[in-house]
Amino acid sequence: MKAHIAPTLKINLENSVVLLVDDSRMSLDILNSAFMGFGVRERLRFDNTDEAKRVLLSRTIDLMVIEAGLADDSAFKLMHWLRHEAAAPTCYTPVVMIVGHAKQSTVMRARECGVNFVVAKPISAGTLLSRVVWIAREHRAFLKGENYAGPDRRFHNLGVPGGTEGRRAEDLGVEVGQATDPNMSQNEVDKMMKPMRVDL
Amino acid sequence: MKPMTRVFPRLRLHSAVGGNRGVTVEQAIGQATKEMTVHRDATFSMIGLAVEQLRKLSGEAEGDISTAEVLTLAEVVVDLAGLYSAPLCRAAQSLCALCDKANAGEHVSRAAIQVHTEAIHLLYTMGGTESPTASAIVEGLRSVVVKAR
Repeated sequence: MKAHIAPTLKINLENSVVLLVDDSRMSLDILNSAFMGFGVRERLRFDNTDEAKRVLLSRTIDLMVIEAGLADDSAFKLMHWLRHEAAAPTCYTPVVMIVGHAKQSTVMRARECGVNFVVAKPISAGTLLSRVVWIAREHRAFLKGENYAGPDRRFHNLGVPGGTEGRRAEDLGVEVGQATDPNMSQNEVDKMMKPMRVDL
Repeated sequence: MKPMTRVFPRLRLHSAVGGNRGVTVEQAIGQATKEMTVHRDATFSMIGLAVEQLRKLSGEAEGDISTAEVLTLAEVVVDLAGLYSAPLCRAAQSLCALCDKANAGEHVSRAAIQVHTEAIHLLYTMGGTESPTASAIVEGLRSVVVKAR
């Protein structure tokens, strides 16, 4: 998904607190520099998820950026804890997951563990900032169920998944039912579809 | 199955965009790119070490190449180059894909691995910059992965 942002859009991240988690010291330093450039004053860096979890429990984090390939699957374990076990509002913490060697299965897992965005390398400062801005501007619903907790993954309403009745109260069934109003005339349809000249 | 609950959390981040204070996106990207440049030389030195190890592993005359070891080194290149050099990162990702095939039991020839490590070395010596040549090299590596038997 491409995120287009206007270059003149103003951002003010100086009061945001960003948590960076990566087991590569070098990657951590580079990410830290990127967020320093974005104007984030408080950047917390950890090379393991235990310390990251302690911080998430003790204070409000505005954004977490985590590398997917941490040892012992710990990035995914932390995400599961954050989305399913952490109390509100901690569980709503926005998360960007960075994937290096992006096997399709890893990207699917990242999506299913409730991150807001999966960013596959190679990445630039522009890519990273566009995702941060996207999160800051979106007002996506946060869903919590037995199998999934995280931001709504349906960006577009394409209806319920095929062969299912849907899992949400507002999901409509596949049966259309009988018409309750008479059919529209072609003229009425044309009026809806075509721009018309009007006198004001 | 229990129905999902949905909430619309109010994030502090929402107030960070679109106001009158702060810097423009263009300025922020420019500043971040500048800050990231500080680490470029050190990062490239580390990539260089990994590339040399890769060449050594794949160039060994005797026995099978350890694709697990190659994968570990290729992932190091992906992680580091992924923040500075798109062609190097993509070439290393192609090598990772090749190793995944081998580790899944598919036969991957020694030549396919060697052509990858040499191409990664070439891209590294070219400074890892984007160019039509670099794109052609990466494209060639992808076709090697598709055809690798």
